[in-house]
Amino acid sequence: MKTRKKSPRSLKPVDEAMQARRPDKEFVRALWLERVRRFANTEEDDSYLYLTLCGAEGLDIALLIEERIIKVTETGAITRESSEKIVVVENRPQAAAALRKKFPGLKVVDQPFANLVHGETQTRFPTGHHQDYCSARVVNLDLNCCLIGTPHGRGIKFDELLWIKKLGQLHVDARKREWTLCLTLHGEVKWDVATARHIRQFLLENFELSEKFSSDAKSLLGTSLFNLVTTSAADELLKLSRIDQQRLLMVVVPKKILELLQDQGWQVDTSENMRYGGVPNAPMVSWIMHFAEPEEHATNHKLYRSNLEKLLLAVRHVDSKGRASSEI
Amino acid sequence: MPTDTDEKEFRGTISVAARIIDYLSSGLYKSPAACLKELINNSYDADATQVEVAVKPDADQIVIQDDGSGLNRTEFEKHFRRISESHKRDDGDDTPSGRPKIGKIGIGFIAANELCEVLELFSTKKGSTELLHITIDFNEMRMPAEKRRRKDGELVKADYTGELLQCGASEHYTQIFLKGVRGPAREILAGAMNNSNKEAESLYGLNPDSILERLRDPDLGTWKDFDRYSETLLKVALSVPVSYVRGWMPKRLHKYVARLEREEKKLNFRVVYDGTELRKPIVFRNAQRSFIKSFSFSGEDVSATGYFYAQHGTIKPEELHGLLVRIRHATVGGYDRTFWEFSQSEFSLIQKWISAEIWADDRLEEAMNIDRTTLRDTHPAYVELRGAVHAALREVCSEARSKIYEKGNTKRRGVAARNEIVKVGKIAKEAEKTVGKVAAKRISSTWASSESSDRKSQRTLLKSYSVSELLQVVLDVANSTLQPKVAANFITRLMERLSK
Repeated sequence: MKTRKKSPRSLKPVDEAMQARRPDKEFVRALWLERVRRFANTEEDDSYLYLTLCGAEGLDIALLIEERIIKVTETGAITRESSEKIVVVENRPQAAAALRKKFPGLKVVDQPFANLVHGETQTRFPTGHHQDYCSARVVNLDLNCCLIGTPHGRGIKFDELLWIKKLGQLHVDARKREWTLCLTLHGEVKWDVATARHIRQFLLENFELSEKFSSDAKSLLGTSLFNLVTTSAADELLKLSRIDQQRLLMVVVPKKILELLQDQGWQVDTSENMRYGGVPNAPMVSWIMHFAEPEEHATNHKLYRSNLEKLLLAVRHVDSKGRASSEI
Repeated sequence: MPTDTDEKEFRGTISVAARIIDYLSSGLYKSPAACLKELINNSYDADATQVEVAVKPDADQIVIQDDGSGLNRTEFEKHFRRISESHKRDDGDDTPSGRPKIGKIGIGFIAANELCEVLELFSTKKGSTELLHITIDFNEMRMPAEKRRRKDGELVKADYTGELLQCGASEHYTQIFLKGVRGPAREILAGAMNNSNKEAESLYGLNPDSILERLRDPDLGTWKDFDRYSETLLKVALSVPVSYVRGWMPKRLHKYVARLEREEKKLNFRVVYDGTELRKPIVFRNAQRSFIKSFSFSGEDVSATGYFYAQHGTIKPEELHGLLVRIRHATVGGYDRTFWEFSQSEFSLIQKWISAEIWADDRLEEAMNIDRTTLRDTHPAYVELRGAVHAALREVCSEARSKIYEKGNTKRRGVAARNEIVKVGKIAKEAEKTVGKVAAKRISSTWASSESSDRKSQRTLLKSYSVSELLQVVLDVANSTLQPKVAANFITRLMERLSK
């Protein structure tokens, strides 16, 4: 038996619960609920309705039960029908146990999400049940991490975004021509210089390609930050204030997603692009992106431009009291 | 085998490979329910007040978590180094809270081997910040040693791996994760249908009162009428020391079992199975024609208490028919329908009307086989208790015959006699027109008194006659009262009538 002491792997339920029940997070959670409700109210199909990385508290599950989107029995256990509609991915055994205790009958996949989607590689995809889970109508990736770039060939890759690309492809393959991605990341920029350079170059190219995107980004970032991105050295991106880090991610992340999924032919509606949290809590960034089948005859290029135009329209800040205001 | 160097005399120790666990447990437990029971009873022995079992929706992973005293590394190692040594009772026969410990040789823990490929355990004790995390890969353990041996002779993998993590000092619990639940067990646990019943009902998600209602359903003949998930749930509930469900015994008989019921409740042990709190699934639904006989025996080799419940008609669901024995509040198998091989020819009908529960003292534990479901026929405690059980059963059967079988017969006979007299009265009234008032009155008065509870006259009234018996009576009377010519005519007509 190994006797090394590790940092606590067991949960700190109080901390987690406190963080999860913050009004700003509850505001975001209500938006997720709305998205799930839309699909729940549409025609019944055999798809999973909701895949979530909800953590040990499972507050979004509780909300879905409260709203009767997920049905429970007289003991509070999830009904057999509803258990075929919802799946939780939770890798930490104790969090999984807490969830199963709180919501008997809940389907919990006990592996990291990365394993579920077979990593970031675009050649191996999940099959069977795992494919069904990943093709859920609403996929809520509430990721408890920052967006980190890693060197890949001559460029930089972002694993979390590559997972999303795979999710898009899985929905194409499963002929699920409408789905919603809810994505949450830590709103901190913890890149190395190479990643910062890559991001700066990426933004410069796209600002040049699309005036609309450039002007929307400028409105969101503010002149000073916009100028810093466009004129200063990449290293400067590593010294941003907390709010500026969040704003930079609000521009970069959805744009990257749009680009990665471009070939899949989705009409993308970025209906929410939010930042919240911050001292004393962790700064967060969240997006809700709806993917649908485009109108006929729309070329990929035309589609991309139309998606890009809507990318930075709904940018908001949610304050600690859960009040949302436009960032533009 | 290490030996000393003496060529003519030698000695050594026999090392037992971990694979023995596989051999020991393979086929040891008849059903997934039996395996779960062992693990739940471990929680009971750890003084847990609540155990949560999570099986649904698809039983590919089962979680059993309790709020018991927990396990530390030393205790785990001590236990696993020598399974079958009586470490569980090293500190006494009772738990710190005073519960009689169920486990004895520690083999219950390996019941998991029957169910899954990997067992993961997290456990911590109150006052300790150490969180024990153990992983046992049964699949690995099942591999032949030669396949696991490296060139230097060492085994490639350990039988378990462990690490010490950290947690809060106030926490105390054990969580067991059964991963990679094997196919057939998974299907049963998840709720496969019983063979003949594709529309079987499930007890999943029901509270104890709703389950009671289902168990009381007169159409329910067996637990197999439910799906296999529910059957497993009921089997687990029957085997572990949880409370009885309210209203399990007909109200008028409840006083006879109130003490036993209180004893079980005092154990303060709850098992929640996918959100459903388990109660003993023992429910008797024949309130009127039933009785209870208390059982109390104190012999040289064993003592026991309990009850025999008897009712008019076969006990349903059939799983409750027979004799259930508990030692230290845990069952030894399920209900034994043979009542420990009681003579099948004695009271054969009435045996099916009886359900008995008996709590035996620890001396019977010695008679228990390793599977914890059967007892050794030759063990003195078993032999003695079996004798007492059979004697009690004889008394119960006898009492059942007089109290609920005969009594019922008398009542039925009285009703039949009354009905018959009414019919006779009608016939007499009709006869008045042909044979006259005197003869008609004679008919009525002959049978009027048979309505009373006089068993003999009732029998005479209700007697059935065969054709030959009827002919004998009629011919005797005709020959003694009629002229031969009239008698011949009468007989001809009678034969015509009877042969129609």
